[in-house]
Amino acid sequence: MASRKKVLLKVIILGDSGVGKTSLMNQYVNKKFSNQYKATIGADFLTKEVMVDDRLVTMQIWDTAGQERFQSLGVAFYRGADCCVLVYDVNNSKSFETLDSWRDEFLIQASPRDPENFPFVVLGNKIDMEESKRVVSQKRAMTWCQSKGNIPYFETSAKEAINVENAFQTIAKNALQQEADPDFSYNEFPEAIKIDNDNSKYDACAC
Amino acid sequence: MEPIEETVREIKWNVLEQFSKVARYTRNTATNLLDNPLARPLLPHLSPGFVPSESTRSVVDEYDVGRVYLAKWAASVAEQAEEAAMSEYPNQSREELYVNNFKKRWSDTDPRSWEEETEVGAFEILSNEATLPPLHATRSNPLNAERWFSFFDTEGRLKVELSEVQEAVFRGGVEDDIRVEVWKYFLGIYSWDSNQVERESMLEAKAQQYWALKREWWDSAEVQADETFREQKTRIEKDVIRTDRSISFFAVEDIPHPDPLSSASSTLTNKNLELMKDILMTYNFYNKDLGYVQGMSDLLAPLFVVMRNEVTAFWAFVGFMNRMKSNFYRDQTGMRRQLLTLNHLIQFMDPQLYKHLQKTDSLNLFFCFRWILVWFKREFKWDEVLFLWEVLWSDYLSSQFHLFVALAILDKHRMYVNDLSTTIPLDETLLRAETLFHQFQRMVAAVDRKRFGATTESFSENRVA
Repeated sequence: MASRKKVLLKVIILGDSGVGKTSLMNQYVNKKFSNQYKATIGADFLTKEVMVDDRLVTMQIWDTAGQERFQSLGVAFYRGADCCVLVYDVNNSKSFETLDSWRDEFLIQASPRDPENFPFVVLGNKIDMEESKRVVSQKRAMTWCQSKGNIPYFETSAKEAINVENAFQTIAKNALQQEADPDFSYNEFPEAIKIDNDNSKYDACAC
Repeated sequence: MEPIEETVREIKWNVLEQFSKVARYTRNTATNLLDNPLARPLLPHLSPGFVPSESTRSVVDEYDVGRVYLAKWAASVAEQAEEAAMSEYPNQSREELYVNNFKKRWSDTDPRSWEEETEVGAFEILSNEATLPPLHATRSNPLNAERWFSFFDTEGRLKVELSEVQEAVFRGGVEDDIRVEVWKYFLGIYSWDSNQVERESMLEAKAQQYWALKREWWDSAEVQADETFREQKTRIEKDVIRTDRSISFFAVEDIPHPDPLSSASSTLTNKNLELMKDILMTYNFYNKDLGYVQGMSDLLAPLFVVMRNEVTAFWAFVGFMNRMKSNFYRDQTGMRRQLLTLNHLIQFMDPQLYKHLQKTDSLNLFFCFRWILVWFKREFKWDEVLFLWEVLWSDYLSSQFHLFVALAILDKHRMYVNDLSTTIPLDETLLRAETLFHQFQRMVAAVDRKRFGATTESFSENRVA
């Protein structure tokens, strides 16, 4: 175990365009909110040093574009992630319904060895908006999270800084567990399989 | 196997082929390479089994020599030296400083002092090249109206070589008052060989074509009801209201939202934002295969602000997208190719930085993704973006000059590039980029000259087509 090594946690934030991914990241890292964020294009990251269980770790938080077009940044982008944060807007049901495909996409691209237990965290953002606008109930969101292996769920407002610190503490904690788990690793690329010279049990591929 | 050996073929083939324009004899060189017995082991360069042989080793060695040469060069532009010299000669312009820095470095008679910094102890190319004149990068004043109009005859037809115009724009950009005209040429609204009368009819035709395109979706209930259309419309809307709102052109909120069904219906908007949406919707229709992709609103905004006209902004955007569209391909092949080329350029020209990126697991260069995708739109201030883009459109030294700009930023800022937005001095970056380009050009020539000896004519640093 690399417990004395300096720990870098890679966290990836996914979700539809305009749900508040950049705002959440900026509220957490810079304690700031602006109504005038630009759409994230491609990918962008911020880092933050954070104490988790008496350990100082560096969180590298990757913000992503909401348009599925950029998902094909692909394997290299997702690999090595220690936690995946799924964000939706509680006032936008479509952004909730697409959580499934964001989760699937992550699991396909990152291919963690133990997908069942890979740490996700779900954030229902924009709870500062008037109640009448809300279309996804807390119950509905929690039911979905439970059905996916008890994903931790937080209702947040990046604008009012509600629950953001809390949520990211959990993200950091779960990411660190993931990172520290000696059984955990990502599947290697198939082409990186070592071929033993003397081992004729397997045919080397013909490529 | 050392990483350098693994990738040396790729460097040779990808970088040099990508930039084949830099050496005017590259085509011949490539042919020669294929004919050369030394090259044969390199030919199956896509096969996974790369076995270093005697001949491939010689190529590796050559590249190492070049790498050392470039590592030294990179050291020579270190900011420290620059700052020191700046305080030593406070009256020098930055350009003079650059030149003097180079002179100083090139005249250094004891390269050994640097040898320890690198792993390879050979300076063959360096010592051969030391007698060459210093690399020269210059910036000049922006192209003004007087000079611009002097390029045209009485009928309004270009009477000078295009390269003269390109160089003027490359060196200094253009002044505000003629920008709207100059951009129409660089973005393909006008052809360079047209006269005034022809341009007027071109504009007329383009206007008609635009309104016809716009009507296709604007007037069609069927299109409006289509789900994909509505999705794209929502996406465009979400992005437009987040694009350059600090610019006064887009800042005001003085009209109600036109679509009561929109999720943003409660917010106010302005006529320019609405026209931005229309232009992007029309493009979405004009180029159905590509459609609207996030990032395009960033590319359109400066064009619209400069053109101040829906029709010309649209066609300027089409022209810009013609060179940028591969960045937005669904499979990301365009972006991958560019990042890979940049990766090879770094490896070729700045091995120390390359090592650092390797160590920090950053060789995928994702942190440069946005730079390349929208040509540094988010990295420089508004006015600087206008200026940088026209410099890049000029295609004066290379159509790939933006990669040298990226390299220049990396060269200068090294290890802390993720939070640079609008803190990079553009003029200095362009000087650095040009110098890097000349350096690259010289290195390509040196490697080829070494390989082919007297059969290769001497290399000229003149502009190449």
